[in-house]
Amino acid sequence: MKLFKNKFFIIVLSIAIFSVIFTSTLSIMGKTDPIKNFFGTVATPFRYVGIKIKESFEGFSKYFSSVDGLVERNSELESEVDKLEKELADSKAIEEENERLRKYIEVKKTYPDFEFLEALIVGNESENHSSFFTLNKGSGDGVKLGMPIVNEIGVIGSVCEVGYSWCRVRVLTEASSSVGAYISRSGETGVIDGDISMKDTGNCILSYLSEDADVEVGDIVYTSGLGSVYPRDLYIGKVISVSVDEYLRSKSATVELSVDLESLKYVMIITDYEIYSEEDTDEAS
Amino acid sequence: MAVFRNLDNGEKTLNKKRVIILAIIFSALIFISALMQTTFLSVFGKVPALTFAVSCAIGFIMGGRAGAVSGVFAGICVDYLGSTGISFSPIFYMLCAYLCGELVGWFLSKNLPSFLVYSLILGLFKEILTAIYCGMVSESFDLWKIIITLLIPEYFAYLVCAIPAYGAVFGINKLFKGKKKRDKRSY
Repeated sequence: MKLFKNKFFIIVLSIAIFSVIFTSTLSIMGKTDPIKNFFGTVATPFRYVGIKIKESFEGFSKYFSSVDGLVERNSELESEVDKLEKELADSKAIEEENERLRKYIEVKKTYPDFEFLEALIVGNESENHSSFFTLNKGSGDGVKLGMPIVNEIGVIGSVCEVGYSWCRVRVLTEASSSVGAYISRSGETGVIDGDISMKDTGNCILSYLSEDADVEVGDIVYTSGLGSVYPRDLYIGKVISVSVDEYLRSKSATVELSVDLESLKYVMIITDYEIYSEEDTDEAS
Repeated sequence: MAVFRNLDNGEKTLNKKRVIILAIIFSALIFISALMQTTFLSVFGKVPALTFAVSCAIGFIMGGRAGAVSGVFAGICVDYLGSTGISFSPIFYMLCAYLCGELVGWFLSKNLPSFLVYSLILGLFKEILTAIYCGMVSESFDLWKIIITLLIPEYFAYLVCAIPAYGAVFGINKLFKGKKKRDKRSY
C-alpha cells in the first residue's frame, strides 16, 4: 500500500494511535491525565462565558417573540406589555437565583447531614450517544471521584472525572451507569441501569428484580445506598412500565427519572455524607 | 514545512511564516469549535460534529497533510473537552480529513458542492461508527430506534454545520492568498 510507505502519514497516524491508547487507558484506570486536566481548566472560563452568552441570547429572543405575540393580540396594550416584559426580563435572572437558593436551602433542611456544593453545568458530551456533562467545580473546590450529584428534586448522577476547576458527571441515563435502588412500597431492591435507546426520554431500567417481585406502575424508586456511591433514600423516579423476561425468569421495570435533564442548569454535589453499608441494614432490622 | 500544500498546482506556495500563522489560526478555530460543540451548540436537538467538519474542511482546502494534522488535533480537543471512556476520535478524524485532502484532486473539484458530497459520505461513516459504538455499549440495542432518534438527526446536524465550517476555512485560506498578492504588488 502506497499510503503506508508515506512517512508523514505514518508519523501522524502513530501520534493519533498513541493519543487514543493514552487517554483510553487512563480513562479505564479512572485517572485524569494532566493534559486533559489542562484542557479542561483552560476551557472552563470560556465555557462559563459561552453559557452566559447563550442565556442572554435566549432571554433576548424570548423578549422579542413575546412582544410580537402581543402586537398581534392587542395593539392597545402593546406599550404596557412591552414595559412589563422588559421588567420581567430584567428581574428574571434575580428571580431564578432566588428560586435556586430557596430550593437549595430546602434540600439542606431535608438532608442536614449532607454537605452540598453548588455547581453550574458548563459543558455537554461531544457525542449524542452518551450522557455526561461538565461542571465548573473541580478538585480545587474539594470535589472527588464518585461524589453524587443531585438537585432539589432527586438524584442525577455521580462524578466520574475530576480536574482542577472542572469535573465530569455520569448521568443515570448513561449506558455505563448503575445505581442500587429500592421500591418504597414493597422494599424490592434492584439496580437502575442506563440505556442508549431510552436516553432521549430520560428513562432508565430497574433490573435484577426477581420473577415474583412486587412491582407496579406508579411505584416510587429511591437509592438503596448499596455500592457506597449514593446515600440511601435519594429520590430517583417512578415506575412507568413493568416487563417480565420469561427466559431469564426475571422482571424489569422502566423508571421515569424525576429530574428533567434537558432543563438542568445548576446542580448540587454532595461532598460529605454517611456511607450506608449492609451492616447498617442488619442493625436496623 | 511541507504540511500545507496548494493542490491547485501541487507546489509549496506558503512560506514558513505564513504556515505558522495559518497553523495557529486553524488550531484556534478547531479549539473554539470543540468548545462550542461541547458547551452549547445544538442543531435539531443534537450536538453536531462541528470539529469534525472543520478538520475535514481543512483537509479538503489545504490538502491531505494539513488535514491529517488538524484531524489529530481536532480529535484530541474533542476527547479532552467532552469525552469520557474509550474514544477513537483522533484516528477517525485524522483518516477522514486526510482522505478528504488526498481525494479532492481525483474525485470532484475543490468547491462547496463537492465538499458537501464528501460531507455526505464522511457523515455516513461517522454515523456507522456511532451505531457500532451504541451496539457495543447498549444492552437492549434497537437499531431502528437508534437510527431514527439518534443517527438521522445527528447526521443532518453535521451536514448543517459542514457549510459554515467550510466557509470559515475557505475565508481564512483566501485571506492569506489575498495577502500574498498584496505583498507582491507592494514590491
